[in-house]
Amino acid sequence: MKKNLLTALTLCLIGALAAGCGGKKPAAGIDVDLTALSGVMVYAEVYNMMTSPEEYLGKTIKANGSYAVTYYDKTGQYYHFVLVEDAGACCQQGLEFRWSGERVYPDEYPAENAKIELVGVYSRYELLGDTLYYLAVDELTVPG
Amino acid sequence: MTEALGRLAYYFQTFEFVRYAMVAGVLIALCSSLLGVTLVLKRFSFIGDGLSHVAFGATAVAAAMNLTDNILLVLPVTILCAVLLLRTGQNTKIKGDASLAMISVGALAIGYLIMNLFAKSANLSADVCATLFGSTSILTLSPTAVWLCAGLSALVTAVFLLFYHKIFSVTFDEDFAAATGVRAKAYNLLLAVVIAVIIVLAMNLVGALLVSALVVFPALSAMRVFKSFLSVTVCSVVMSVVCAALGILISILAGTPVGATIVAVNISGFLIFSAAGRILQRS
Repeated sequence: MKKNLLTALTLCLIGALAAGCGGKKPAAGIDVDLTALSGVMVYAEVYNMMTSPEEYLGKTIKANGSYAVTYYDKTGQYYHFVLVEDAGACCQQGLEFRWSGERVYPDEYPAENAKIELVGVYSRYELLGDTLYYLAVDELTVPG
Repeated sequence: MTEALGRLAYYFQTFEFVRYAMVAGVLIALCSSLLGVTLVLKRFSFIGDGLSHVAFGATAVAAAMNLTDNILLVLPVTILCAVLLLRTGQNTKIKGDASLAMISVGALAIGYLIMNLFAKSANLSADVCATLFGSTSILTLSPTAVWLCAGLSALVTAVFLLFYHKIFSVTFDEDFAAATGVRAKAYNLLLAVVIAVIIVLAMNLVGALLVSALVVFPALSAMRVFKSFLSVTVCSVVMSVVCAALGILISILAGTPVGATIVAVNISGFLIFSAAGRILQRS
């Protein structure tokens, strides 16, 4: 009787694993496709990009999230970010990006907080003595 | 099902942090369930909650002090509080559960206060959320943290196996154990240290507020079906490891918070075992 019960319990657990787990395959030509990952996976991967940025240099990254912008007085420039959230929606991380071409803010950029999707190469730059990282973006879309 | 398994295979092959999370998660679940049976039987179920709040307070102090490795502060402080709670609780003016409640809420409040006053991170709510609910902590472990987790888990398991018979006797009748020559106070002290280590480890998996679930649910579930100390302990370990692994897998596939998902799986396990226990009783 106990053996039958344990078998039933195992089947229940496997069934639970199969339930409610959708998703899509990573896009071709992309090294890190954050859009193909679940919420917690995205957060963990972006956390790794922040803590071990050198490992991601030169990699093509696809990401989506909310668009955010900030103005820095010392340089007199706008800095653009895509914000990704974790599953609990309490932890948010921003990836800086630079859109290729001569684009003027705000006219040629999405509205703030708009959902955006972009593909870019992870790159490095120096700002006032600090090493910072950004996505050099060619493709940026605002999904309808 | 095939698609879910394919995605899991992709995650495990591609992302190192998923492999780290699974290894650490399974080890933590194993340790927490080993002592869970003892804690439940000694009516110390809630001590995990109190100690995890102490660990949260210590984490806040470590963050304020800018310690790179906060476990150097968190572990000794939690061990000290565990010893104080388990050993002196009955000889002080403030008795058992009252002192536990006092330390529990006090540490939580002071910890949050310190985090606010001396915040080193711009994203305070994220830090608090991750520490309290373990939303993603297990997926952001460094290799050093995984090795530390493996070492401490091996230590906890070794202590449990080496002192299994003594822990057994102290669990069921402390006075009788003392009368038969077992150094009950020394073993209680040992239990306090081991419990503190488990709590600090388990905070990474499910967060400070949910630690008790890892200690209590596997033990209570096993008690629904099995009756002897050994069988309950073995079943509790298997149940805890399976629930943690399943919780992590569901979480990374469905994108749900890791800690809460593991606890939800444990609750489901408890309900299934309760039903199984009733069926067994009837037959």
